Amino acid sequence: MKKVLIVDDSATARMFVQRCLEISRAFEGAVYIEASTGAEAMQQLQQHQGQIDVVFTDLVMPEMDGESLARHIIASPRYHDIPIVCITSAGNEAKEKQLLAIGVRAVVKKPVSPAKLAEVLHALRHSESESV
Amino acid sequence: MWDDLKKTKPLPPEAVHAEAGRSEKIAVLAKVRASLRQSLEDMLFLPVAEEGMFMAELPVLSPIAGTVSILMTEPQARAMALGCYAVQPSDLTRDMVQDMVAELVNTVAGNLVASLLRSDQLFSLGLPSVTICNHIRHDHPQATFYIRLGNDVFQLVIAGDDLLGCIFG
Repeated sequence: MKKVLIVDDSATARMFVQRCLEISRAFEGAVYIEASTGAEAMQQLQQHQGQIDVVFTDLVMPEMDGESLARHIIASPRYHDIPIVCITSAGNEAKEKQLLAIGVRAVVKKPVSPAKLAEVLHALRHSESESV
Repeated sequence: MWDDLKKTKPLPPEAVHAEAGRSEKIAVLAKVRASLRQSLEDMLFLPVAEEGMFMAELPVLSPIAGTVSILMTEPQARAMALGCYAVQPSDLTRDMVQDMVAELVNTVAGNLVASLLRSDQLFSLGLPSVTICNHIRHDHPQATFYIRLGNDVFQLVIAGDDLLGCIFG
């Protein structure tokens, strides 16, 4: 069963991302796990080790921001294969370039929509199948 | 208590001036509200209930500084949150409403700043905060936009020289 980790300090944003993913049918039958901080996300990764298929994270969060979280995940030998998608309101071409350079797989600008997420995930899967 | 008062250091002149300025502003705002209330009640026989409003505020940190705020009534905010969460009114908590307003200002501010800068310019936003208030008072110049949403109107307030300079030139 697929597990999707959604990280955002806003409960509204987490709910919205989950709903968009459900509508887009990107991960049918998936279990959604939530974290409201970067530290909580690291705990969830540990708790569900080897089971999380993708991480969606906000960027601007208190304590550990999304970029630091992404760097932690990418630097970890246990989690570095998990694709990270950043969802942010503070996003543009420059930010996307910066995040892709550190290993984030995709960046989505808020407000998210089912179509936007489906498009990003389609591109992500396409690039993964090409690289195999 | 008298001993405590005696021990208190006197405020520096600029602080005394700022404090005086603050109380003057509060007095002026009270007069504005009173005149509005009296006019509505006497002219239009409309009872005025001065309920607090939800104000979500988000600082824009760099490369342009300023603040983006959204101000709306509690019923407006609740109606929006009900649509967003798709829950029964009895299941909607005040935390959910506040979080929705905070997320709204976050998204609006991000889109606004991104549209004002070149796409190769990095920018950073602060964290949103939500308070209950009667008015928005910034110490910097501000512009208020009134946005109609169904039968209601909510306010988007943009404050700060940098941010306003980018918008109005």
